Amino acid sequence: MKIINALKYGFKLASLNVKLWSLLYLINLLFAGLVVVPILYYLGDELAMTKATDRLIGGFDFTLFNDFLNQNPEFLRLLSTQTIIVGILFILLYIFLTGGILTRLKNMETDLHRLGNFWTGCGKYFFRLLRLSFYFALVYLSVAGLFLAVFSWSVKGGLDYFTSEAAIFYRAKICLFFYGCFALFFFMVHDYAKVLVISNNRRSVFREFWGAFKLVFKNIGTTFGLYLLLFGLFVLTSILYGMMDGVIHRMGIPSLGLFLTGQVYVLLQIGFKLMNLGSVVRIVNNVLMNK
Amino acid sequence: MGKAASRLSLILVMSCLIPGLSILSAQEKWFEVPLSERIASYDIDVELDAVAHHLKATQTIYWQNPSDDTIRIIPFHLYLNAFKNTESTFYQESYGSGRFPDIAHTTEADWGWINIDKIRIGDSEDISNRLRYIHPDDDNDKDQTVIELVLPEPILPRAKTILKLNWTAKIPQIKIRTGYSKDFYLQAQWFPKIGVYEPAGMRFAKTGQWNCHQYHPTTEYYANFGNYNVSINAPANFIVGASGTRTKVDTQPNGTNTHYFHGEDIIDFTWTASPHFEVVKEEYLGIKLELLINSEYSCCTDRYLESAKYAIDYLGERLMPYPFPKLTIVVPPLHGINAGAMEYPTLVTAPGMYGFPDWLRSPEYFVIHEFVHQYFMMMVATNEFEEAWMDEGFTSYWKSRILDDAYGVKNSVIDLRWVRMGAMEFFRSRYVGMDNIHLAESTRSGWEYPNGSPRALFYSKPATWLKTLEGIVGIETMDELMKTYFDRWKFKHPCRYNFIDVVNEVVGEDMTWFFEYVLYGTGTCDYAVGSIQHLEMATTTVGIWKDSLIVKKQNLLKKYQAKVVLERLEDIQLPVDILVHFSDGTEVLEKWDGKARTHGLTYETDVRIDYVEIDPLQKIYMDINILNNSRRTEPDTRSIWAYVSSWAMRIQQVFQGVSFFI
Repeated sequence: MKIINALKYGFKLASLNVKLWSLLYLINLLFAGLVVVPILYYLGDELAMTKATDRLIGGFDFTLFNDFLNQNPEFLRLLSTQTIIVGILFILLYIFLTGGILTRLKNMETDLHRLGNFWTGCGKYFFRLLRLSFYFALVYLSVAGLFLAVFSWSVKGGLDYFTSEAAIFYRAKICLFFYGCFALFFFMVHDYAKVLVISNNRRSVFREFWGAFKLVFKNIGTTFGLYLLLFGLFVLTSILYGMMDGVIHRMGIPSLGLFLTGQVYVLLQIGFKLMNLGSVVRIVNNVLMNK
Repeated sequence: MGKAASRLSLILVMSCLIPGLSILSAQEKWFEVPLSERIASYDIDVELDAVAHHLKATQTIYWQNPSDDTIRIIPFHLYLNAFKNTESTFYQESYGSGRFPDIAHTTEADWGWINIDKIRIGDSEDISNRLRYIHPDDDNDKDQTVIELVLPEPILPRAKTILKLNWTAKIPQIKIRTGYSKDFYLQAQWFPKIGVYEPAGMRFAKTGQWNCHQYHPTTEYYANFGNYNVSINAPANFIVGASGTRTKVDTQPNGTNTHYFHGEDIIDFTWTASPHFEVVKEEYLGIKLELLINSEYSCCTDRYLESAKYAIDYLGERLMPYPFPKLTIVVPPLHGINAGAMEYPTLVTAPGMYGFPDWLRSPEYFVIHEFVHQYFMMMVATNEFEEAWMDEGFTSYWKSRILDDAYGVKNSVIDLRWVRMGAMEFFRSRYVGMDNIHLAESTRSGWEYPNGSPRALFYSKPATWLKTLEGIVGIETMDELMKTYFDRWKFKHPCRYNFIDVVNEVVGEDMTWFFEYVLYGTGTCDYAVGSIQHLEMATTTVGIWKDSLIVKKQNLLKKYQAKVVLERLEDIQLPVDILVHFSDGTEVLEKWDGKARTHGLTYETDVRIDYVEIDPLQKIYMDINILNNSRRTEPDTRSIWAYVSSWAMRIQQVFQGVSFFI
């Protein structure tokens, strides 16, 4: 019941925050635009006068891209550099926004319509959440390193030792599965730590880091169950979207149709994000109140 | 005269007593009428020691002098000696390729060798003391991949002879093509094989000569046709596959099995053995298909077999039905992958990998490629050492046609929703993307290219210009000339002159100029639309007409003088089509011989030109840049926007996916 209640609360918070939803969507669109618009201008400069671009009407055209890259060998380097820079900025901005989102979700009951709190929260908690993200990034890397080490040990000798690569793939699948579970667990703890940073409003994020672990372990059924449910919804919508995308693609519906379906998918994912954080806020509030 | 003559007479008498030589030793007859001259036939009995990785064999070679020359020496390939030590030409030409481990890390298992212990002519004494290593291709006197027998008695014109050999070999770990990896064996280039004697007039030979090259990493095939009867003794738990058809299997008391194989009118013999093979058998159009595949790849069984069937049909309709009664497809395990992607008579190897995705048509790609080799080089037996493009280029061209026909021109190799690639596109990209596209002409021998052999010159460039030739002469003529070439030269040994002659004959004009560019030249082809200009013609005419009367005429309609400048940016001159599209939808198709550096087109018209496109049907497939083949008068980025918007959406989704976890 706790899970369902938390989920309902998360849904309610998400549905009441249309402005926030819209803001996150616009930021998503803006950053995708930051990657794509320079590409568009670059391609426009190089290709606007050639009829060869008509080959793109049917989708990706290998010969066109091959010749374009032969003529513009710097393109991929520029593209990747730009994407990395924009990606890092996006992550930083999202960490910035998380403070505002959580502040707003936490204060929803008393402060339903004041967006002012949102920006205050963004600024106030940015560096704390940044530090927290850095610590968790170290955790993710350590866990990944650990599983890589386990995998390397399990396939020591590689094909010199095994008769077939199938055995290596099998071990890789097992390691990936367990890594996925562990990573998911730490992602979840990260969410609780973020909420604790905002709820407790303490400068030291270390205490929230460990506090989140304690909270999650004490309520492992609720916390992990909720996270799995939300993650499952995330994956399920992704699969459904992928199938729908494939059908639209096969039916030859113009790219506008694909684009609009894609936007619906992105909006849904933003909704899941808000639902997830809203549910976590609910659980943390309940736990703190019951102390 | 006396002793020598009597020995010679004995050989001749023996030869006469063995009409058809190898046919006599055949255990199963494939063809009532031989398909080839059967110059060199082999009976081999070989034992595999799967513990020491050794081979021990007795071998009989039936050889007929195909010329009016008297033969005094016979050279043999001893290609396992390429893996004997670091002094072999093969090793030295492989240096830096990663084929061999660092010298510090080599073990005895890495190396291999072959040694002729005894050699006799007929029932003569052992004359192995008359053997000497030679190195016809380079100055490397340490290379032992070719050995020459100085005959005690010459072989007279058209005479037949029988050579009997005893030899032993150590099998190397697979570096490329041949060897063993764990308990998987792929035995290619494994037995002493006689060179090809080319009488005057054959290929490039001005006088009679032996053609027997050393083993080079890039090239390996040139041999006479003949019949093969091979028995392979291997541990009983080993599944054995080979060129030719299996005639019987004998179980030996020592826990081994002896497998007997027979093949006719083939140029080589290869075999494989592994205890892990699963055997899948099918019969298709009277051809026994046999797939030897490890269980972890069995999900791809249909992909291997169905692609083979498609290729059998495709070439059967266009060149000749596959004449041999069997085709074996070997899928080496990943640890033996360096034996993969190879062609041998009636046996091909196609690499496999656990969990091969459907969108990557690697199994189909390799099966079809290697199967096409059954035609180009196994039947039209060109000299791969000297003219590698004649088998790899033809094979790449036909392979691309088959794949593109079977799976689609834009997705026959990679078939993902957002990234796709056709086979012919792939070869063109390899050609136009060469680091130095002007590197060398395609007619050099495989080992004569600077800094190693650029595969693109053997595979991609010829495939691309054959596609261009198809565009120039049309697909029907192309098919006709290919069939004529195939019919005329199957089970023979043509060279490039023979192909060019057929092209000239079938096309009905001298196409030598084309081959000057694509074979002997290093130039490239690039046509471009340089500019399109519109001059608005005067709407008012002023002047003196009719005895000094000044008249002004006002034109009612605008008229344009449209000037198009076409450019040839590179060396190769090919005839091209030009499509001129006007804004009212009318189109004009022009022809240009493509010879001048620039070519102008002028139109006086009421409407403006929308765009001009050179080679709108992409007949000139070897044009290295399609982007400049067309030009619009006004920029149009609609298709770019539409396409890139799909990128934007994917990037949005990636960002959103990442943000879920931040």
